[in-house]
Amino acid sequence: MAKIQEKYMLDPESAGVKLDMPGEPTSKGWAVVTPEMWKFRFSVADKIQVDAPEYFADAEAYTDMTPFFAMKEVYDGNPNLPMAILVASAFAKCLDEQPVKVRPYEMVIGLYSGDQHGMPGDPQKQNWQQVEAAFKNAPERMKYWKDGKKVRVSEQEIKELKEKVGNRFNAVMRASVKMPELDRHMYFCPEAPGRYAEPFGSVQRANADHDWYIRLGWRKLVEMKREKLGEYERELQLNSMEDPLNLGKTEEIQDKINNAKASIRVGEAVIRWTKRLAEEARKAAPQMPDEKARRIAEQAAKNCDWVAENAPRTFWEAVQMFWVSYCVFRGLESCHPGASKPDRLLWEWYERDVIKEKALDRAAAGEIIACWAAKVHETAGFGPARFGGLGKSGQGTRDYTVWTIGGQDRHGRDATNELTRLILDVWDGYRFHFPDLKFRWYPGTKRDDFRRVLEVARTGLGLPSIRHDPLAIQTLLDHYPGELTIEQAREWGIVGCNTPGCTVDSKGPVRREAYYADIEKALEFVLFNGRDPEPGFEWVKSIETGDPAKFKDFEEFYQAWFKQYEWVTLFELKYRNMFMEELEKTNRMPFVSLLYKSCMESGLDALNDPTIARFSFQSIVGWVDSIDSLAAVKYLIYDKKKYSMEQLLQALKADWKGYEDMREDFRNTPKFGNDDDYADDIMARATDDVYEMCRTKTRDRSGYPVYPNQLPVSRMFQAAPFVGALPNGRKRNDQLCDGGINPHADFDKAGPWGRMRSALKVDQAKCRAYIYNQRLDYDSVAGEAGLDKFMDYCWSSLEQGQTQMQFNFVSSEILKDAQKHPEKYPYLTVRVSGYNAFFTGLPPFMQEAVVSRVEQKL
Amino acid sequence: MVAGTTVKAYIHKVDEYAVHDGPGGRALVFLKGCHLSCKWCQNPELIKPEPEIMIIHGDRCIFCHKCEKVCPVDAVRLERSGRIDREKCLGSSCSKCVEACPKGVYEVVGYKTTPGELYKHVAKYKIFYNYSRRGGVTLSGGDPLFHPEFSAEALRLCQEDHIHTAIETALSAPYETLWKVAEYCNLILCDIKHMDSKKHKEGVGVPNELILDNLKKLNRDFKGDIVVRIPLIPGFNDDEENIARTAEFLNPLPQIKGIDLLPFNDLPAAKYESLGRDWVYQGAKRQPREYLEKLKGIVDSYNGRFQCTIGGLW
Repeated sequence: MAKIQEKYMLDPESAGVKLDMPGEPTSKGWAVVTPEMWKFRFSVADKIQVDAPEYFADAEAYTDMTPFFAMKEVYDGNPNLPMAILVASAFAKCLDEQPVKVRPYEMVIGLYSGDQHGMPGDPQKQNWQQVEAAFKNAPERMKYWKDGKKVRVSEQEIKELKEKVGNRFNAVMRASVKMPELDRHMYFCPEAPGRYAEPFGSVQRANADHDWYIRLGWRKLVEMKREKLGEYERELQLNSMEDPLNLGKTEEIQDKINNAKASIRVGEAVIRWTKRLAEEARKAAPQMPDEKARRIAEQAAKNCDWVAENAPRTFWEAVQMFWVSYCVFRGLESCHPGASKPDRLLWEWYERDVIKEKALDRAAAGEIIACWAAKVHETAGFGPARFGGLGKSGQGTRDYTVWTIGGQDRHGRDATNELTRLILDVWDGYRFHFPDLKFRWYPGTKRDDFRRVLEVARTGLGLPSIRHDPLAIQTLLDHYPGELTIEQAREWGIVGCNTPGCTVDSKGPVRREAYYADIEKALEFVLFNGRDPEPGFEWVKSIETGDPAKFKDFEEFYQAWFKQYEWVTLFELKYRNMFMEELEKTNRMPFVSLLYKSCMESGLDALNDPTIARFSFQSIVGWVDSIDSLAAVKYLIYDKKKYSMEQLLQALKADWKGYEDMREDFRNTPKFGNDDDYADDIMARATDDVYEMCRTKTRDRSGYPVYPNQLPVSRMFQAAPFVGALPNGRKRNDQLCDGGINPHADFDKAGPWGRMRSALKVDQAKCRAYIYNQRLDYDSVAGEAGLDKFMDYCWSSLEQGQTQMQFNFVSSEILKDAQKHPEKYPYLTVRVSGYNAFFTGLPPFMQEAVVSRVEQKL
Repeated sequence: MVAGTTVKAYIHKVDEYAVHDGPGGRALVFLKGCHLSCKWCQNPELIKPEPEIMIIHGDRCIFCHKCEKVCPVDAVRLERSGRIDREKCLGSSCSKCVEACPKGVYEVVGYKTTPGELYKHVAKYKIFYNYSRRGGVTLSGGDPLFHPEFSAEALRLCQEDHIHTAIETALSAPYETLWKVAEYCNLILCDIKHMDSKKHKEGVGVPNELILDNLKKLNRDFKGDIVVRIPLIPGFNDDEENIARTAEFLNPLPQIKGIDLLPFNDLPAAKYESLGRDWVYQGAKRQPREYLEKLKGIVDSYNGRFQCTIGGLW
């Protein structure tokens, strides 16, 4: 132990935090960990979220409704303000009145609520149904800040907010009244929100020109806007003289004027707020518990003093400035995710401070990053959506914030740098399983770097997940012809939770163009001729595709299914586009508009600026389940003719109850992901067909097709009760497949190679993105030789065109729990004796043997 | 004659992503049939060359007694430990119980295949062997030397397709037979169980002269690496003297690159029960860590000449 203490700043064993992972941090990770930052990292509010409020890890977490109240008050003061200025004034009010506090060892300061427990809601974009549901489900967790104090929102206040803010400014509410009654009912489905479509709402994006504005500083940005404002005002004057009849241009110019004024107002507020942070840090410094904490607070104050108005000079200042920006666009403007590519964004400062001038040592830079990550960790949260409709989605995470690292630079060279490596060390040492990291792999990635990525994942973190860089670039260029240059496409990052998009040159999306058609319902619609078979949902109607019992062959069944699939997709698309149109027409985002170079030039709000790309996509749940169901129908009804369609329908209606043997047969049909062409061919065909349908029939508001993303991200838990029994043998409420290109856990019978071969049979470039989940036992990748094998597996698969990979590792506690509750762990993979097997599929005696062996710990 | 179709052998299965049986991404082939019958064999179901009926999922049994009813020789009794009277059982050629069981409790272990078919199977995974240029196929068992023609042909086909090849063998066959197979290998993993021939015979059924002689000859002729694995069996060969003698014997053989000391484990106990055989190591424990380190120290005392591991390099 003494040896470790000499070498590292912290003794791993006495660090005093129980880690729920099979692996230990590696020595490289420990080398950057300092005791102070370790303590800070584990002291922050931990908003791991589960669906029941009483199990919320952060007992004090709440939805911060202050932005709603600010908007209401500004409106009450002056009901005639243009939207942009109203929004900016409300932001300024929030920032000016927000209580600020500075904690020991906090290297980057500022929060987006009055304290670290708040998750702000967004009056403009939040689905109001969620706001109301959140209040109903957990009223004690809905609060706002008033005169420096946190108070609970009352029922009366919710009503008032709805009337004054919701009805007037909320895009979802404004648009929903325009829908036909039946469609509105299906779309919002108050009985089971998310059943046919995920209602529009919640966060937007802020993949702004971070690399541009961070080099200018707030004062310069505001000055530039002022100059623009002068131009517009002169233009307006000129226009009123030239166009006395006002043939339309006035309105356009007025909009630019309003936008500029709004951005200036919020920019000034950000400057004031940052100065206030500096002041508070200075005040707090003498009270700090030790010398190091005092020095940190003093330096944080100096940093804020400087970056309140100027462009950052040091790495530490650059992180602070970005953090200020993040607090506003994430907190007040409700934009996700944050740092799209931190290793590139901050490289200039890092290289200067740490590598060239050696003004900052590596571990100290690591502390800054760790503090930043810890604060992303603590501030992240879903806001009203958490208690108001997400249901079982997003369980166990804070939100979907992602940092993308590695990959190729603009010119196709390796962009992985020392900062990328430090970020990996920080995640490894400080044990962050949030925010998520995505590593862009390409054939030029250095093998040592990739090995390190896998080594970090192997410690049990499971992250970074791996993305295929060249394929992501190719997909962006193919799906958005003419939108991007190859250089811009190479600057992609994750712009949502998993979707690649450009993040430079004002091409990074600001609107959340995610479409959530619940395509698993298409299966039910084809089986029940356009109806939802569950009692209570008789009012639901899609289109009639005929009585399936009369279909001659599988081809007819497939075509009918595909029609239903198309209907479900287009239904969602139609209304999401309608909401998007409403949002763009009426709503404004004055702060994010300050962060886009194109908005600076065009004077338009970021929501309206045509330069800003959309990179829209559909996020699909139930894709693998659909394919497996099609294969089962083809196999048993049309090929083997063992059962009739009538029998199947009866069994499905009964949720397989009383049809257990028949269910066993349907479960045993060929399933995707087992290297069996019977099912894999259907997957490949359906992928092509869906791509073609989307290419020809779907359009987002920019006129681009909306391609699917096969990534359920956890929505499969939310969707599970909405879909009844399926021909793949699934019962209602059983989990749907957790990935888009891996087998369903219940039917994952082949080993890692077989399932990968199945995935590689599909043309993955036809989707915007995939999730490929794989769970591995820690032992199977242990040691240098294990890492070699893990590396071989990943590198080979990527070389063959696998677009995404993510891994999980297993601890012996989990194994023991799996013995007690096997139904909870259908997919748990373990090493047995020279091979991997599913733990719960092993005979009990072998399970016992494996558990005892794992416990031995070589 | 088409290559690879001449001879047949029974194999149990092919495991993908095998971790302990050679470098890189590896497919591991379990052949049936072995010259030895070690009491501690980890894969007792693979000792006999012909297919066997095994109780794989006893926990799934719903006691419908269908297996008992269909058995023509009355060999199945659910209440009996081990269920099947192996003396009476007609074996896999009958398999009535396997077919009758609705829950898949029984399984026939072993299916007949040709080298060509086996090659085709493992070549499917070629993409996973390629990255490191080290990954490939390992023939294990049983013992690949039990089916020398089959093994040689399968390995030849793999090598021809640039797939790295390895075998795991007990070396208990005439040298000509051994060489026939070794010729097509890139790596050989072999066992040395005991340096004392008499003891060797007690433990595995045959003396050790042939095996040790084979290893010397292999050292002379084989150009790839050889790794020797010593399964440490409590009270049989895990004494310091035996390990020292083994290292002493291997020291002059330059092709022997590594020695793996494999600690004892009782994973196969349940397999023995399901095959209706006795597991004689009831209650025996894995050697303690310190003791294993001591044994490793003996091997390491040869100036680090061997890459010695506890539990295997891979």
